[in-house]
Amino acid sequence: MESGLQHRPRTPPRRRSLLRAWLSAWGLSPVFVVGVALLALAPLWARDAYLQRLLVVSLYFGALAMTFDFTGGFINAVNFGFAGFVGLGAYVATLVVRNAELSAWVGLPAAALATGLVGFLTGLLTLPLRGIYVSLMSWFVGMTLMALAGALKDVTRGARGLVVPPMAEGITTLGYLYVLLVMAVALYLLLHRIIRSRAGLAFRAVGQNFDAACASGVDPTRYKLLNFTLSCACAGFLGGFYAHFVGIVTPAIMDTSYTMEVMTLSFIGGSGSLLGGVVASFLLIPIFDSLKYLMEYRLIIYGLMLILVMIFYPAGLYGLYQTAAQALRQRFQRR
Amino acid sequence: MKIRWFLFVSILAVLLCGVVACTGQEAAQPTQAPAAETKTLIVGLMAPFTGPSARVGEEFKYSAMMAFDQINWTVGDTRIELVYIDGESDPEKATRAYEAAITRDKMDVGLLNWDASDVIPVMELSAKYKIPHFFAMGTSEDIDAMWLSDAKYSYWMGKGWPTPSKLTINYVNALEDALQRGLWSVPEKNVVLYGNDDEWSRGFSKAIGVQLQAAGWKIVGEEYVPVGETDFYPMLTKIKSLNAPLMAGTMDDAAGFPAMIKQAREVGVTSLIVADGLGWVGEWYDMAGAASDYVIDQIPGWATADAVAFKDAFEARWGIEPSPSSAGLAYDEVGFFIRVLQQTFEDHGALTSETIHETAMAKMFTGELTYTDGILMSEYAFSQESLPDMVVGKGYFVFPVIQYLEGAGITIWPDEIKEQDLQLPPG
Amino acid sequence: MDLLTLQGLLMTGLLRGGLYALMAVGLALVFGVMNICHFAHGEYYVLGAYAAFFAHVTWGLHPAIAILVAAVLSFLAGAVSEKLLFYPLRKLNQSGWVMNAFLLTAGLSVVLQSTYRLAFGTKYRGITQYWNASVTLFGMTVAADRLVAFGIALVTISGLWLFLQKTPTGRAIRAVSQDERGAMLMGIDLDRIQTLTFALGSMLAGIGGASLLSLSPAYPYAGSKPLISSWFVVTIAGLGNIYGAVVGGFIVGLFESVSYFALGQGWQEVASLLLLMLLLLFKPTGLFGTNIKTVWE
Repeated sequence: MESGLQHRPRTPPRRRSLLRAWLSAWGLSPVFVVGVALLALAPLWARDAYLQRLLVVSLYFGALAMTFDFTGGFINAVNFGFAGFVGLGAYVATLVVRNAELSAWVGLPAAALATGLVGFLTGLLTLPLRGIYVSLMSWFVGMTLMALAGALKDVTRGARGLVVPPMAEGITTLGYLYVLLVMAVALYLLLHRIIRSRAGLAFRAVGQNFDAACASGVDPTRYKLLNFTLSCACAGFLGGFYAHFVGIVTPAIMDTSYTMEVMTLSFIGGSGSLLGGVVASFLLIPIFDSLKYLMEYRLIIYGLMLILVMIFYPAGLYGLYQTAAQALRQRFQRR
Repeated sequence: MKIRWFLFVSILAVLLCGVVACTGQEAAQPTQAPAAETKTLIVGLMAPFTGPSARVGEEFKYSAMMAFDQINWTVGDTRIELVYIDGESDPEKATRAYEAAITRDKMDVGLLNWDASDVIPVMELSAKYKIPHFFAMGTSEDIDAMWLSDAKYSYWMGKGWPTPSKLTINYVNALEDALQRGLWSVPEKNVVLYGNDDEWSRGFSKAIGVQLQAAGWKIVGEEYVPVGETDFYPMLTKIKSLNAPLMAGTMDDAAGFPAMIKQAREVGVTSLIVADGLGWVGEWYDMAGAASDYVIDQIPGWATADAVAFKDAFEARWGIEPSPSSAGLAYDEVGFFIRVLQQTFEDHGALTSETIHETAMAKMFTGELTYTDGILMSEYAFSQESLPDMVVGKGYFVFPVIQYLEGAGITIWPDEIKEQDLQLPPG
Repeated sequence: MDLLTLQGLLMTGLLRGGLYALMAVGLALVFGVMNICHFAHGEYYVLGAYAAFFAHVTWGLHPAIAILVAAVLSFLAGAVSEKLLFYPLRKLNQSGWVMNAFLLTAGLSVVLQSTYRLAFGTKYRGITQYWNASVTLFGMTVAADRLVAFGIALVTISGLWLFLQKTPTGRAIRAVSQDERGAMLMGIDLDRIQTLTFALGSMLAGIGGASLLSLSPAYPYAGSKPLISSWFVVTIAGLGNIYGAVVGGFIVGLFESVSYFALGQGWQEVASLLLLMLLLLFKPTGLFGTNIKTVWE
């Protein structure tokens, strides 16, 4: 968990060109740039509609994992009710479009706002709590949201769910891909910017040692609230996208199993790395989709993989990347 | 360190063996059937094969295999090949799997499904790719509304299970009939509705609630429990205190439902119980036992000799007890589907998505082409009025209202086929 | 509300609470001693149910023996899982233990569920009852199974209490739960204690699954509801507080039975969750949570 802090001053400042410093300040690492370029050029290499859908889904889960990591990997508080917030966003976006007959471009920000507000309140609730209790509290909030979605049947039609119109008339899978790509890039830039600012340092300080952070003058309350609100708002924003993309929302999308899915991606990707979850998502979702015919074996492999990663390589893909990068750099320096 | 490597290597080895074994198994299949010159029609069988409703998926798969075995997997000069689309009871995953089946496996036609929430997005895909999809069982009325809203959805070739309200009315009729004939008397027409907190149960309660109210009943309580709950004492204590002569509902939680029935008698609920779908899972009576006596359900029985033969063959071959409403109905509907394919071949001489759609539109939707060789219903048919549902009612798609006694369902409605009148629990 | 209904509610709540207590004690034990947020606890419950079903129905053993078989099997399964998974994890990574162990249990839960599905199919393996008898209490005909299950829960929990209080091994377990480092300095074999603890926790879940076979049949996905309920209980009681879990079980049982009665219609879920949230807010470490180890870091 501390890895992010340790490895930060990677390159000696004197060798850094201005451009590189600027790029890295915005989080525009080579992996990121190449990834975005590849996705932006998707129509050239992914003509298959299924492949395009797979890209959308991988990006969607990747973005969720990134959002999740913003809390889990930095202030060290796992939001175990994550799926509840995503679902809340999906419901708000849907209701805005369905009941107020506004377009999705109003619905998505509304979803982000509403979820952010609930996230803020959850942050308030978890303030007196420490460690695992924060996770439990957010889990209960998530489950409450799910129970409410089921019980408020006048608004949500309960478990029967709501049918959601497409985001725009005649939008294609590629269209969704571009919308999501813009959303994800914007979220990444925002989150990365915050991580790189003073607030980011404070997050890590709060996450690593609460008492020490207090002693050194960091106001944990403010930062915890800020973090929770932001990450929940992002989750809701993405949830709104999901509702339009899939076309139906039911309380089932708030189930804890989705939190687990996102959490797994985020941790396999590497905690505290933001982009690790995205990479993991682009690796794992297609792999497991292609193993679909294995049915139950597929889930066993999935579970075993999670177990193996946790036992042998808890730093995840990001850790792997860092180790490799370190080794390469040493090589170059020696030469 | 040694342990670490030993463990890592051994687990990895086991994992690899597993993967190799499965892929080997899968890869071996196509070589058995020489795909040389014969034409193939790729049929996508959609069902939840993993996740909580996996049991249904399993029964669908086995029934479909038995139905295709009957025709030796060929229609005319075309060989049928099945690909399995795992909906996982999740709309997003279902859509993805469905699109993969279309673009990757080159599926020509889709068949069956279970979860209603999967149907709406999948219907969109079937319209987009013009892939006809036959007899998906999602019941929700949203599907009807959507189907009727645009002609492009005509590729959704009818629902395999009618909208709940078309079936729930039978209960109301059966009960009203019993009241009128003095077989049953109630101090006040009060009813409690119950169910799982999910799409299916809520839809059922809504449908039967409206119909009961129209017949003069008053809904005095509505209770829902989450799927997975097996201790119903709290819910039943409340229902008991409401003191209604009737409780009606359904649960699709095959573990919880028998437990609920068992506990209803323990808690001392004396109401007549309508438990729609209690008999859906073959093993239900092992779990519910004698407490299920006098409970009312609506389920096709293994009534004919053919049906019993199917049931026995199914059990002998697959080792699970088939339920009429999933394995049996799937078997019949796959039979109907085969009938459509045969008709298409007769009319067009070739089986493609387009010809199948055309024939089904021209012959099946008009009611010209029906299916009468089923083991459950005497006739499966569509009509312009019934669409997208099948024709529901006497002689067509009808579930008899039954009352359980010692695990056997005794038909009490409709009049023409009833074996005996409604019986009341003693006391 | 008349007196009979009130008595009925109490009965219901107590019976429900007994089951919760049995499940939750195992969870609390595992958390208290090993600091593992156990998300595969329900899978051992299912294992117990399967074992009891095969022992009772397939081999025709007496119910009591069937439950015993289930207890032994789930004990062994727990011990094996600990040696195979948590032991290497502990040796390899001390840092981030809580999170890693938690994700490991999540993976374990997926693996076990799918394995059950592969091995036993989707068949529901349930029984109508172990004992064909019932007792009339406060106008309710309570099935003997429920009372026996309640009894088993009480006996098992008391047995565990005696074990923890009176035997040297039990005292060692408690010592580890209070202060791991101190316990090690006292010469307690930590590895042994951890394995034993996990095995005991699994055994408690297994006994739960076995004794409730008539209530919830054995099938691959049966474990999730008991898991969530026991997490409720453990949170109310205070994580890792074994005795609190017993009391917490009864509190949750009673509360749920009352909230079903007063609210119902799907709102009872919301009520229980709100209660929990309020409780966490005012008593962040649970009702009986005192001085637990600093988790997370």
